[in-house]
Amino acid sequence: MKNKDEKRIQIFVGGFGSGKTEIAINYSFQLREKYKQVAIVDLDIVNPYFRTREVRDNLELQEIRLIAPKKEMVYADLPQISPEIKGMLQNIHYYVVLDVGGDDVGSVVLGSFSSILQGLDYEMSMVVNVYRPFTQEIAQILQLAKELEKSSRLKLTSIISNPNLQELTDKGTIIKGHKLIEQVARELKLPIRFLCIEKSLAPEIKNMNFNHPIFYLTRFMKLPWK
Amino acid sequence: MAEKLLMKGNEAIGEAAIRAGCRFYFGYPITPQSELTAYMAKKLLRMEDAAFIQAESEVAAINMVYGAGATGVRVMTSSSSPGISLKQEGLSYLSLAEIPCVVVNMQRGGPGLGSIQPAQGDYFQATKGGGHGDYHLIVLAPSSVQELVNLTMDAFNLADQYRNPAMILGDGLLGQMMEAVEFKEPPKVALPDKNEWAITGCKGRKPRHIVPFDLDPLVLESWNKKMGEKYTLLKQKEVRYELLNTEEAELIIVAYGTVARIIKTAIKNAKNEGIKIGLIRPITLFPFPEKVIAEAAERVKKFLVVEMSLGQMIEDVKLAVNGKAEVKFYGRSGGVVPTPIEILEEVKKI
Repeated sequence: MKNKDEKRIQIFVGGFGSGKTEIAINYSFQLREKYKQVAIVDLDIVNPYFRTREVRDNLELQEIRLIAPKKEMVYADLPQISPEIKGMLQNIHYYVVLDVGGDDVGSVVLGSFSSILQGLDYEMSMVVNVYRPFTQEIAQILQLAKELEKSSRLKLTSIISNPNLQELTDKGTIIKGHKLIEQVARELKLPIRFLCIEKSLAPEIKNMNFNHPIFYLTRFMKLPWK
Repeated sequence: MAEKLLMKGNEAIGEAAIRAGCRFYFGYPITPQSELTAYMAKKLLRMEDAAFIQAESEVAAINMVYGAGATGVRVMTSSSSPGISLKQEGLSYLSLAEIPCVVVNMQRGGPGLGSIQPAQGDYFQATKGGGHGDYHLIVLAPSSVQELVNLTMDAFNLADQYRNPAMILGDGLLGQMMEAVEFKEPPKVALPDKNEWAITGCKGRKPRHIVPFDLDPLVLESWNKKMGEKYTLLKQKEVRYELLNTEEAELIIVAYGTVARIIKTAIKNAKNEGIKIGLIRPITLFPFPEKVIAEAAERVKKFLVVEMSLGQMIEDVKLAVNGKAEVKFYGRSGGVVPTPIEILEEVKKI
């Protein structure tokens, strides 16, 4: 994806289970293709499973720095915020991806860094999957946007459309879901940064025009039987 | 939007319960099932004639279930392993008092405080009573998010039909994973009239008592016997299971819940190598599908039980097999989830 003025700090927020972690991981891999020093911060204090820290090996293989609870603390049922984060945010040599926990509860953590972030060049994207409970309707999504901004004490700068039902996703799912996001974007007066589509669906949608760039996703959070 | 949604297992149980008419939830959060408590809070607090309480403890919550259930409403509580242990006294009381309710256990590693990763170490507790006295819960073991939806709805019907607490026995993985689900109308079943026994205000009729005791041993024994008859009826009428490739199998694996998903992948992989494995997946753990296992043991001479424990359901499998076949075991515990590869390795050793 071409983007001349790519912001150094990339924040992904959104509803619980909206796809932030998968997008943040994929995005950090893309950044790494362009820049030498990329870090991803696992700020998820909400989820007990399926977190960025679970793909530590994949990230390390690509020399992407993962900032997450230390290995020995990885299974602890505690909200942990690494002391490294602050330094990383201020390190101008690094592109930093922040994978934030779901809902306003998850975004509270961001609020504690808001004084630093406000002075920095950041992009804060709200990831929305309209097939998730509590973000199925426009009013619900608008409400969520308000709550996210309030608890993070930061302003959203864009929306990421992630309409999917996992394996059951088809062309129709994407078209219908993305249309709703276009309405939301108009209401919020925010740009749609991209539309996420799982790589395996690429052939099915290749001749379609969605008005927005497509971000092809590779799934990292896998179930043990897959 | 459409009725198809992408949901976490825990959320799906909540939505299914509400659609099945559950308007009362009492619970205390614990990983990995807290999303269910959170879902019920989000939904029930906005509904009329509904109540959600984050109780001061699991003990308080199960006793609130007793109170609400005694009035005849549909009521639910949920927790994960250590929290379910705390509810055992209440479950024993609910059983004797014959109060219908649904209890969800998204199991995690144990014993003790254990871990927060998925496990199946609470099989004995769930199926053999769990608390004191002679009783059983109706125990349902889903293995997908869609099945969580369907079985949660069924659990409310079964609880009402038999006036008995019903348990959804899942594990952390099932609670945390996301899958697409569809919500259909809950199944319509002819259910006994709760007005026959529920405490609904005694204007115009004699006061009723719903109590978990009788100090006269002969009376208590008669209640015990009545409960025993109920369990016999459950065994005759409500057994559920899934069979996969059992006809052609040289070896049958018995597994429930998420482990059965892993087995299905292992079976597919084995097929490519020319190894014929079948699966018996108990969907009801109580009543246990002993008959189908006994029948299979007449044909197939090798059984493997796979659990996320050191071996609990294997005892029921052995009772059903009754010496007719060899029964081996493979298990991981503490929150470790087995992989299809290690299961196939295990099969090759037999």
